[in-house]
Amino acid sequence: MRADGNIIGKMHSQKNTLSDVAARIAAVFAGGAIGSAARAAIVLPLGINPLASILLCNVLGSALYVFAGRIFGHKFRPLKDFAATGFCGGFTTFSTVCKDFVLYADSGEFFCALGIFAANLLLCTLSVHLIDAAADKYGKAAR
Amino acid sequence: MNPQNTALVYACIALAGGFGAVLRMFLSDRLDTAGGAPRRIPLGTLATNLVAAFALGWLNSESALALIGRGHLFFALAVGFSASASTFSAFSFQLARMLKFKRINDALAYAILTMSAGAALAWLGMKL
Repeated sequence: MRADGNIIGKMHSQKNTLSDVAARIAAVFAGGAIGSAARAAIVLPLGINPLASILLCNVLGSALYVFAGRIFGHKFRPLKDFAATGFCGGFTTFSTVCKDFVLYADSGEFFCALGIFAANLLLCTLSVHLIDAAADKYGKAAR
Repeated sequence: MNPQNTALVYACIALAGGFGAVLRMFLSDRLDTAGGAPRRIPLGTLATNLVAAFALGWLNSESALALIGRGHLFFALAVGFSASASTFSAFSFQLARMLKFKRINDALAYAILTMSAGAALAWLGMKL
């Protein structure tokens, strides 16, 4: 593992068997399916502000991503694939934020469009930082 | 929407969302590292986010709506596949890591590149 904490390089150095790859695909597929459906259940129902609901999904999903990574680490790789890469990746969305940005900017509400971008970027990064810092401080991570 | 129709919509979204997540995983695995070492900018996550932004923009364009309408296929591709293929959690995690390890220039470049190119590609997709 590099000093910057990025674990991807280590993951690639491990040799994966075909069954490992199949298990990984299945875990990510299942997590992505559940995460997407959960996001849709929050965003699609009428009466909920779509901007706020996407922001909520992104902030919650970002925090959960760090939490899942810390809890499962390398010891429970399929669970980490399911929860972090699959569920949190499917629960959060970048493309919808971009689409909303363009829709607001096109209708002349440029500051609102910028606010959507800024709120998602700042709150998601902050939620990751806070969970990460809490895990570092209290040392309850199972890395 | 009646309950049966609603259940079908969610099933379509879940199925397509699963495929979007797998595509994201493959691209991230292939492009986020070079020769086993992580890149300064995670190109896999960047690529999936930009492709998905363009795809969702196009799905909301007049030409796409004329082609596929706003039925189950639209929900599957837009709310399921495109939204799930992109991710904000990995993006914000990578940004927070860069900031934590004082890679301020990398973080700024990554954030600006992702946000500006994502918005530009979504706009381009909508205008097609």
